[in-house]
Amino acid sequence: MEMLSVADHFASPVAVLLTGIFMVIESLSIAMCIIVVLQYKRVVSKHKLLPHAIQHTLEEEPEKGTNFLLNIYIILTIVVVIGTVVLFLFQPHLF
Amino acid sequence: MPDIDASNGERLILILHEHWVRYVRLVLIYLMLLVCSALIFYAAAVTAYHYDIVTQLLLLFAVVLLLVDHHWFFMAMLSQAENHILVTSDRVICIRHRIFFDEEMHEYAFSKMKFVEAEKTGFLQYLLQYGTLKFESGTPIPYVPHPSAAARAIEQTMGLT
Repeated sequence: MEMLSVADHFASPVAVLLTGIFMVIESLSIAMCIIVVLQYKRVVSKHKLLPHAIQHTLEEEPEKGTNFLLNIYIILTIVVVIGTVVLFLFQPHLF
Repeated sequence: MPDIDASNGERLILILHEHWVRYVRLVLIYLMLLVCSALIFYAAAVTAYHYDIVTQLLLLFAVVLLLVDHHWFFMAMLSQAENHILVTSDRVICIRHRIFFDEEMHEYAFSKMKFVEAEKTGFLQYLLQYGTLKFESGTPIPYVPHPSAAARAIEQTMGLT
């Protein structure tokens, strides 16, 4: 299977530009994940505006489910970012 | 069913989450965009024999679509997972979030309302057992699982039954 090498991405100005754009997109994706997680934590902490007993129950019960979702989101973001970076860098020629 | 005493005497009677049908549209759009992204990846792979600008642009577009789809989907899922309908001894509180966009908290105090209605319209709502809770005033609460049981619980708390 034929593959690109890292040097191919710096072979011409267009290639360098595309590689740069790609790296910016991937960095933005990681930043987006961090911002969403932080924003979500802020939303959850807003439950503190509710009466204490309600807040306590809300924090304990639904968080079990949403924490799972949050973990899946973080793991999938890492997998997708690593996967797409590897795919972009080496670009195996399948056909 | 939680039933905890609060310091101000308000007790939590019931917590309801929105019905799972609310997630169906999200999942379908997510899968559709995922398929579109996969097709563009495929198109990039088909053209990728040489270091070609078209291949690179297709690959870039597929990656952008995949990432946008991924972040949008989880943002929407996390927002909806935090939507609650709380029934306490004094009021019904409906909390809605859309991360980065808006946050709503509707409160329906028992002292200001006389009745609560449960409404199920359409075949799907009957089949999947979800519907809308309507109060005397204020915004109706949609996607309530087993709305009749929820309305009954609220009426019992209000002392109507």
